Amino acid sequence: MRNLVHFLLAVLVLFPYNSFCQNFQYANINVQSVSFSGGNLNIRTDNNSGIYTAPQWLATNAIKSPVAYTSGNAPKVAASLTIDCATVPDSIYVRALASDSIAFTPIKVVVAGSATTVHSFLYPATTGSAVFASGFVRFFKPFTIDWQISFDNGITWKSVGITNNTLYVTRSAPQPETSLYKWFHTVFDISCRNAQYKSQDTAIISSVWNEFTDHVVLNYNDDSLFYYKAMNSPNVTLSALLQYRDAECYTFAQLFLSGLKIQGVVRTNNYVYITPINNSVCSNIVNRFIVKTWMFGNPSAIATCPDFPYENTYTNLMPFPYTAYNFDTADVVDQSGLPGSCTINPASYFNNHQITKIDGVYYDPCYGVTFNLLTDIKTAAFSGWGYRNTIGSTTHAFFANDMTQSDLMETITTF
Amino acid sequence: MKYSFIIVLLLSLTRSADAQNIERKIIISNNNFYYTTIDEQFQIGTLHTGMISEALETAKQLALPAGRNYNEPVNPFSWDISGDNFYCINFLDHPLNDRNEALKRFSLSSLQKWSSDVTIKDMLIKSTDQNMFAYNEPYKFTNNRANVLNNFFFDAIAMNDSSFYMVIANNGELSTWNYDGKKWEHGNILQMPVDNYFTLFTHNKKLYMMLNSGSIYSVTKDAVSRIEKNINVSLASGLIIMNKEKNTVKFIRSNQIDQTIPFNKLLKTRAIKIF
Repeated sequence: MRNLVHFLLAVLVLFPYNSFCQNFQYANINVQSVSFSGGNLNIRTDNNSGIYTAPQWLATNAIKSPVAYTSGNAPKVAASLTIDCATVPDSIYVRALASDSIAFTPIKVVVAGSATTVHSFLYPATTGSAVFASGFVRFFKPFTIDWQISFDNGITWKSVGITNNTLYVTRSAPQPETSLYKWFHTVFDISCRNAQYKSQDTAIISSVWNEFTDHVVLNYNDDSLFYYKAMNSPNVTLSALLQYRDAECYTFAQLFLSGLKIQGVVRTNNYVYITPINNSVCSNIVNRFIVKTWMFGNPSAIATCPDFPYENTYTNLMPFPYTAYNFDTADVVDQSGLPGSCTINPASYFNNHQITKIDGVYYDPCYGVTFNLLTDIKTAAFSGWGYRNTIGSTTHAFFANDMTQSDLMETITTF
Repeated sequence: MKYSFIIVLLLSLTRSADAQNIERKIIISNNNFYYTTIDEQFQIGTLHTGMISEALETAKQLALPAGRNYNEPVNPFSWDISGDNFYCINFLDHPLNDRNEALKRFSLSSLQKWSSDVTIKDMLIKSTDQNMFAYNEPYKFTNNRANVLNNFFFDAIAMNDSSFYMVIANNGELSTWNYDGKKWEHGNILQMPVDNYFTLFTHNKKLYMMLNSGSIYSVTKDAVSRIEKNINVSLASGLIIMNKEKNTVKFIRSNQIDQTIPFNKLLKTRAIKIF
């Protein structure tokens, strides 16, 4: 009799499985969307069209949205799942196991009624079991969440799908956005990718700087960010650099500094505008410099200005396709020299240039080089100085390759 | 009826938003209004002009080989009109643009409409090699005093074609400069912190400056003195309107600018008198 009772009880326990979904397979259960919340940071799209919003993972979207938190916070996730079965239980247990062994606690969720065989159920917004270690940069590409369900009150668990999002963890709270510095996707990506596991300011600065030293600066999607792919690029803001992936020196300095600000690294007087000191020569003002390498030929303007005896003239300096200078006459010729980001021979005839200065060191993100002194720049990077004047439609540019003819001055602001 | 009202409301809001992009001021001269805007992505300026009997939205748009950068704090485009000339400080960021050569003067008749032959890129390059009308001595002087720019602001105004005034502030210091067509002169270096941009205007051949707070100062080479004019506005909330023919100065709040009505009606009904 006792055995019979035990048998009947066992049948009663097992009965629901057989009756609810005789043809059940776990493949019939799908994750439809995942939403992150709980203090996650806004990430702005690189094309500046807006901010990535929840759900950051959608089964129907091939591209998943990125997520970011400040360290010391735990991720919080919610999910929407479906089960495709003629007969389903009233409730199911759901849990998740994520990267870094972060667990999302089992929760009994209600299976919604449906007129079809597809029923939905929602895992409510739940905070993970652990915070991202406080004070450390993290970079998860991807941050993986293994979604699991149980039909037997959490005794047996089966995986029903893995969702992946890129997830960034900043060391500290990012500095607030300004009109030029914004929390763009690539700013998070370059910064966290390079500074993974770093904590101290100095380590973060040197790690983020590594992105620039090989002359290959890549956005979040591994696309190249060009320094003067077109010599007449009009792009001077971080936003334009990330949108068009081709820009001037201003933008690379802004990108490097943004990679520090996003980690909460604070440095003032960090944005440096360098230009010739505007000394006078031959009744003109020296306000041009040419970055290596330019070849100096025969000087044709010794009579005009003995100290600046090389003359080039131009009416349309950068014609289509904007990849080379177009001089009408030229004593000095541009050649391949210092490469810039993703560009072998970028523009090199300038009045000014933007670099950054952090803890006394000059960082030039366009060329991926550093200098300890302002005076080091001209000898390391310049081929010569210049001045010019415009008569009618023709500009006359005069050059000297004697680097003692001028010097650089710096104007400093805080980015 | 209800939908028509909503559509009209939305349209008017859009136009108000556009109006906020007008840089500093509107000038009336020779029965025309003039105002400038700066391209939101490429820094380059546009001069808008039309008859004062027409609406602002009907203005002709002329390409300027000049503009300003987006650095913070923002210093709006500094420009003026005197006689047939357009004056400005070309302070856009460009590797070939020399801030020391930023003072430009163009004849109004030389400016062209935007077209496929007059492009932003063309204007940017043109702006860098355009000859200056005077060396930007005030900037160089200020920069030499302190190469850290902090609360750095400036504005300039052409009293006439042989007297150009510029006021420049940095690091709590403020100085007033005058260029007489041959040389620059400046007065005392005043200890006067300003934390936002200011705008110069003239009345009865005297120079004035409105600060962001809305307070108005009389400006001479050696001193600035606050004058009692309580118009209860902040500079950032609107625009100064200088009528160079009638010698009047008014202020209009940005949210009061309706670009669809004749400008002279707008001026009469919504602007606040300063002088």
